[in-house]
Formats: sequence, C-alpha cells, structure tokens
Amino acid sequence: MSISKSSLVFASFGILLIAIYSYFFNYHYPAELAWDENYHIASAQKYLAGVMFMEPHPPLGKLFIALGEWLLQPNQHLDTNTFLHTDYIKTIPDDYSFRGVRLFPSLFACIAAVLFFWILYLLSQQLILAFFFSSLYLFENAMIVHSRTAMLESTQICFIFLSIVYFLYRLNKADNRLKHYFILGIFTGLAVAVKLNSLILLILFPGLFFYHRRKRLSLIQLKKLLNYGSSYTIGILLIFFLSYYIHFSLGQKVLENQYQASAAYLEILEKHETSNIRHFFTMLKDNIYYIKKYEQGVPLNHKPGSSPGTWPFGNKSINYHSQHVHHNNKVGTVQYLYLQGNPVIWLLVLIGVALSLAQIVAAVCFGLSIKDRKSFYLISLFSLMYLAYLAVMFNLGRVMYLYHYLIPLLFGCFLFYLQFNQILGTTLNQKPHLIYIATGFLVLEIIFCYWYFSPLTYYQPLSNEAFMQRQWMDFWHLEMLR
Amino acid sequence: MDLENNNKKITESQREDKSDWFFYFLVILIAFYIIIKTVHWPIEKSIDVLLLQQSKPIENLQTAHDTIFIADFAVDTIHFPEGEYFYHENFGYSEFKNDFFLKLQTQMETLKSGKYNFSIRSDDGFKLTIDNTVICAHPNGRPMEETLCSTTLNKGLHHFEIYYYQGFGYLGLEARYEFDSSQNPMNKSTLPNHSLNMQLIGRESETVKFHPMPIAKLYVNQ
Repeated sequence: MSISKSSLVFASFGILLIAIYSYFFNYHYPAELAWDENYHIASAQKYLAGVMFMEPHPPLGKLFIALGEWLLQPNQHLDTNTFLHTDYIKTIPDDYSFRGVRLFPSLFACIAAVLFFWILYLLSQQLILAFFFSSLYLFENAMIVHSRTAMLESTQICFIFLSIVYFLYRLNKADNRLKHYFILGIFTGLAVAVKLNSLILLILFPGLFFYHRRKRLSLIQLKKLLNYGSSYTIGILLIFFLSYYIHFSLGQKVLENQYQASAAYLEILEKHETSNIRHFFTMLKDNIYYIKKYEQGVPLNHKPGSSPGTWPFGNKSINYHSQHVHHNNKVGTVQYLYLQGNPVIWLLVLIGVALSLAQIVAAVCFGLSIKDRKSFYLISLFSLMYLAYLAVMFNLGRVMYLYHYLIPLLFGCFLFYLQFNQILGTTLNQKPHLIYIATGFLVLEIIFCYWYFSPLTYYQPLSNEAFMQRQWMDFWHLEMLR
Repeated sequence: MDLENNNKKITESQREDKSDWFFYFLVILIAFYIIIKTVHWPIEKSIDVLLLQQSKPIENLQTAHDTIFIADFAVDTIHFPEGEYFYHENFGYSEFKNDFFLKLQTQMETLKSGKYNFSIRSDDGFKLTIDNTVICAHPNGRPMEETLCSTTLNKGLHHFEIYYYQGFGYLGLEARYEFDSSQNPMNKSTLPNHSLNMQLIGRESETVKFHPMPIAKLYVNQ
C-alpha cells in the first residue's frame, strides 16, 4: 500500500468517526415521530408483518428501515398492530424505540460522509483539502436532522454519492466498457429504487460517455452510445425491479384493499403467488398507477411547503417535532427538531453555484478561456444537475419542501469545492500553508455554526430567547412553538 | 515576444493573488457576521418571577394553592401582553395558559421622596404590595382592565411585589409607575390614557431604579 493510499484510508476512517459523532450518536433520540416517519414506519411494519401495501416511493428505502427493525427488534414486546391498518401513524405505543427503524438511515448517512470525502478527493487529488471540506457534509445541520430519522433521503444520498464516486473514478479512465456502464447503472438504480427524483443521476451517463469523445459522433460511436446506454439502463432496471420483487414477495396479506389493487393483483394475493415472477409486471403496473394517483392527490399548498426558487436561501425551515419542557424550572423552554441548515455551508454553496454559473456564461457567451478543461467539465455537469433538479421541482405542480433541496445542496458543495480549487489552485502550489490556515479557519466557522444551531438538530432544550436569537433571517421562517 | 509573455505571466500571477485575497476576505466576513449574530449583550432583568401552576381551577386570589409545577425566572419589565398564551418579549411564548399564580418581586429604589402613581392592567386578578402594605388589588377575575392607585414613598429601597392569578381564557399583566410631581390625586376620568405615558415597572427613570431581589429575601413566604 502506497503512502497516499494509507493516508486516504486513515483520513476516511477519521471522517467516519466524525460522522458517527455528528450523524449516528444517540440516533434513536428523540423517541418522537418526526415529519414523515409517520408514513415510513407504518410501511416498514407492514413488511415485517407480511402485509401488502402500495407506496408513492419505490421500496428500497423502506425495506432498509424495516431491515433495521427486524435486526434489532427493539419493539418486540409492544403491540404495533395498529401500524398495519393505516398509512399514517398518529401515535406510537409508550416505550416505542426508534433504534431499529432509524438504524439504516443513520448508518447510510455515516457511509455517505466517507463517500463525500472520496468525491472531494477525486475532484482535486488534494487529501488535506478534501478532509477539510468534508465538513460541508459532516456539520450540515439540516442533513443531520433529516438523516437521523426513519426517512429515505440519507439512504438515497448515500447511493447518489456512490454513483458519483464511481463516475469520477471511471472519468479518469479512457477504457470504459459495457460492464462499467452497467455498474454505474447498478449504483444509479440503488438510488432510484429509494426515490424517483434520483433520476437526476441519468445525467452521469452522457457525462461519462462524452468526456473522452470530443469529435462529432460517428456511426460507430452512435452504436456504442446505444450499447452503453442499454447497459446502463439494464443496471438501473435490474435494481429497480429487484427491489419491487422483494416488495411484492413480502406483501402477501391484504388487510384492507385501500390501495385499490386490481382484480388480477387480488387474485395473485389470494393464491399466494406474489413471489411468482410471471405476475411481476401485473403487480408493478398497479404500484406505478398508485404512485401516479397519489401524486395527483398531494395538495398544491401546505404551510411548511416552499417554492424551489427560495430553497437556496433557506426558505423555509420545517419544524419536524417540538414540545415545551420544564428545563431547570424555566418557562419558555422548548425542544425542537428543526430542519434548519448550517448558514455558513448554505452561503458557500450559494457562492459556489453563482461562480459556476457566471463562469459557464462567461465561457459560452464571451469566450472566457478555460484553464482546466476537466474542472470546467465537472463544473458544467454539476451545475446542470443542480439546475435540472430545481427545474423539475418547479414543474411538479404539487407542494414541495426544503428537504427536497438537500440533493442539489450537495451538488452545490461540489461546485464550491471545484471553484475553490480552480481559483486558488496556483496559490495552493505557491503558499499552501496560508490557504490551509484560512481553510482551517473556515472549517472552524462551519463547526461553530453547527454547534450554535445544534439544539435544533438534536432536540436539546432551548429557551425561547435563545431560539429567537437563532432567527438570523426572516425568510427562514423559524417559528417559535406556542 | 518574451517580454509580452512575461507581462502575461505577471498579470496572471497578480490575478491569482487577488483571488487569493477574495477567499481570505470571505472567511473574515463570515467570521464578523457570526460574531454579530451570536454575541448578545445581556439584558438586566430585575424582576424576579415565580410561576405556580395549579392542578385545579383558580376562582380568585384567595384560592388555596394546589401547585403541580413551579418555575422561577427573571424578566426586565412587568409586561405580559394580553393574549391566549403567557408571553413576554424576554422569553417568547410559553405553554402556560390557565390556572396559575405569579409572584413578581423587585427592589424599587426611589431617588426622590414623594407620591408615586401606579397603573396595573390585568386579566385576571392581582394584588400590589409595597413594603408589605397593600396598595391596591382586584381579587377576582376580569378581562384586561386597568386599576390606578398611588402611595407616598420615601427615598430609598422598597420591596415591590405583585401577586397575580390567571384563571381561564385570555390573560395579561402590565404594571407601570410614575413619580407624581404635581402631587394631585390621580383620577382616571380626568387623565384619559395617561397611564400609557407612565414607565413600565422594571424600566428605570430619573426618579426610580430597579434591582433584583436579594436571594435571602426572595424566597420568604413562598
């Protein structure tokens, strides 16, 4: 093992330890339902009890939530039968433990930290800088609060990072073949099988294919494009179908046909043939139809919802759970679980996105010379992914929430990092110590803000006075509990 | 040609230096912003408040205590605006709505001897005592209404105390004072909205200062 490889392993281990502290430690606290856990825990329980259900999201994320509960079984002694008869849990039994259902989302968040570090390393080949800038993920309060609950995004983001790591790794190789596109498809498929908005990763395929092909497409190249595209698609579909196959196989009992399964699907259930591959597409059709129907039923407006155009500025924070507490006999003390980002990180992302878009416009419209072609290529790619994601969100025609911005936020982190390396690249070679000191100082600012907003992240008692002091911006809409 | 290339290189390196400074400037700017947003000068809170949450409905000020929760804290003024929730700008909203007593105490330092006027607006009842002498009271429930009273105080420290209760529905408490230089008897009908010009208890003026209660005296008779 070379020195750089051992350093990479050592640094990865360090990142993992920090992630365990910020993302995993005490992950089962608070023992209160937060945001959409009401839905996801109900679904996970149905997997464990073998009850058939349909869902607006693909099954993989929920399967992992159920797997955590199945492995640890912290609620074996409790009656959770009510979870099977509803899609939305309103109450949980006393002493209900979240150790099981939150296990995998929190674990995936820790793995994602290491992958985030690898992405930064692959973008720059700078170990120290990649380590420093991993704080963009490690201390992002909104990411942490969301990832420590039994929800889907941390699992999804882990697979998104995995796809990007593999994409960047293969970008350095000129001999990408069918199997490499297939593997990229597998990783993309893992993310898509958790949430459909992971389809933004489809941009990676042309990103990888065209990087080493600068000339006009010949017929042979076009044939390769079709072959590699098919290989990539097969990889995605394989995982997507496999996750649904497990979903169908586990759901064998019908308690109430509230999902309006077709007569054919009901017959399959009656015959206990849900594991039969012959019936796969009949069941899949019903499930896809349910997603469409569900999305139509989502309201246009909901108080915690916000417009995608305002997300980069942090509008609007979401109160996942809160309650008054009698802490040290003080009045006006509340525990919050608030989706509130780390403002320093969000500012850096905003700067990264703005600089990237300005650079692209300057290069395309005004012929600005490009010093580092690869860096500009990646800046263009992540900018496209950032903008395309937001454009899709704009056009969904349903209420959307700030946590939907977590994915483009992370793309924005890559953009800031690329801009940093591009702008300060020469200085970094001339006087690296000064840059390292300034970067270290920036990291301290990130950690300080993480600590300052951490009561909202970890459900710690906070006086109303202290809560109001954290309302740095009106448009965050941090609202005090009444 | 070489000279031109050299010039180009110099310009390039100057540009790098500038971008370098842009980063340092950004880091310093963020540091300043964080300091501005996180450093708060402490407010002097001279009013000690004891909140006694009751398990049973409170009929009036004489209702016997059946306390299930006690909270003690401090505020800078006696100004709990009328509303559904127990609110103060020092701590924001709280969960307390119904059936609680408040005991508010402070040391009132009068800098001049003479007559002092007081305005107490409350929903529900209250009792104002200074140096253990009842100055005015409204022992029963009422919507937010004002009671005016006055007393003569010598120069020096005085134990100021308001005992208040909230039954159910809306709540609120606001206490104000003024040094009466005219020495005229206070009359609500002849002084419309006069109390709005009076100072809130806790806010200093030329004639009065407020100090937190000494710990030894604070918990007497609680």
